[in-house]
Amino acid sequence: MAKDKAVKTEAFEATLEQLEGLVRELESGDKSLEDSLALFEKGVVLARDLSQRLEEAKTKVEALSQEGGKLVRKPFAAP
Amino acid sequence: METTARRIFTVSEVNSQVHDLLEGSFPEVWVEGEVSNCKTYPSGHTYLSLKDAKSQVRAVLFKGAALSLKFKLADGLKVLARCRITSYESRGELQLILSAVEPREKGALQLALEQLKAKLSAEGLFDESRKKPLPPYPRAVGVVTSGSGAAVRDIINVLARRWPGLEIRVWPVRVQGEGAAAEIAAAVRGFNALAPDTEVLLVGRGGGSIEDLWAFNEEPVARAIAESDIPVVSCVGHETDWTIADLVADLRAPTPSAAAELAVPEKAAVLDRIAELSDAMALTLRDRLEELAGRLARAAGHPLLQDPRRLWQQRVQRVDELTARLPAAARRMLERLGLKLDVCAGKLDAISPLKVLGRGYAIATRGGKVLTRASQVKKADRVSVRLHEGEIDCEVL
Repeated sequence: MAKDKAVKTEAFEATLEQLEGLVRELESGDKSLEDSLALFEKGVVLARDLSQRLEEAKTKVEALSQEGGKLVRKPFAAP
Repeated sequence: METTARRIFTVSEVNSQVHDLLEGSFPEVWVEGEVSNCKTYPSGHTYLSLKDAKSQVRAVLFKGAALSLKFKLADGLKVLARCRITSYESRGELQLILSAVEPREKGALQLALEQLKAKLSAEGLFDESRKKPLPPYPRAVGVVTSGSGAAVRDIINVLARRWPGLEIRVWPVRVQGEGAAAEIAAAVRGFNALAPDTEVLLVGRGGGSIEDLWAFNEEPVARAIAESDIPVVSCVGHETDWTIADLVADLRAPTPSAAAELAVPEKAAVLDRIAELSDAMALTLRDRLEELAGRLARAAGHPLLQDPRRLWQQRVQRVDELTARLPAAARRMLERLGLKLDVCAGKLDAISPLKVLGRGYAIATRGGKVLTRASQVKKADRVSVRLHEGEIDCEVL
């Protein structure tokens, strides 16, 4: 489970980088009209995906401690 | 007189009586002096001399008392020592047994801080090259601080506001008093050992006196931060407080709230960036389309494309024109040919053998061959003779 989450994090950064790369490619202007349109469409999907991830995200707060070398997770209520 | 007055002591008796006398006379005194010849043995006891300008005296700091010292005794330090004056009986040497030592020129904490700082600095723990970069878009952030102070509340508020979707992991610790340093160090190590997918650690506490912040100046905390694989942002006290934890951390934030701001990007800024990229794409594509539309318009505006009939109309016209010109040209060509024919005929006429025959000559042939010598025929051969007009068949006689 922890592993999945790490992958997800990378995905945000990777997706943003992908979008940035795509814009650079589009701006270089050496693509055919068809290719440019395809890049544009892909970029719009990526941008919407990134924005949605930020808009829909919920923060989670937990308290960590260890007992006998094992990690203990509990919900944390801020003071 | 001699015999009754004289009392003979053994060496041990002398040392023992002097020892008792000293201990009885000086149970607790304060002595000021400079430390020299200071050496700590593996047993944990420290042996040294205290001296001033004129003389010196041996002293010992036993392990138990040494442990309660915040700083380390070192040669050259001016100190005020609480001690009892005694002697080392087996050598008969005067000796001070120190129970407490305070630095004379600086506070004990200040001195301890300077000593630890010098030591860690020499090890390279403050080097810029050791500092790890923070992840740009972390998903899990660890917090090592008190679970009940304003600091943890501020950190959570700022993190949740700036970068929603974050997993905030608080490892509550005591941040001051006995054992605080050990707890802080254990929490930093705990994150690394048990929750290594945590991407950045915020380690600190809210403001307080220098004594309140002291745990963050202690070696175990410094070591734990230095050894952390997870990047650490320190945030101890206020803007003006600098602790050793701040020097070892990958990034120092002036306050806990500031640490939270440094640890995560701001959602609004990232959304702006995404919008900016989307706009850039749309703009680029629009420019591209406008450029293509322009090219198309220029191409379509050419007269030929506006009325394609012109393409073949011109060709038809040309054919008509050529057709009209053809008879005259043909005639001229025939005339030219006729003229040439006349000239050639004249020339032919001049050299014609017929003209010679007209003057009375004849051509004799046999079997179609012109005869030029008499030997070409024999008797009884038939020969034709061509005259200017007509032919005569003859027989050779």
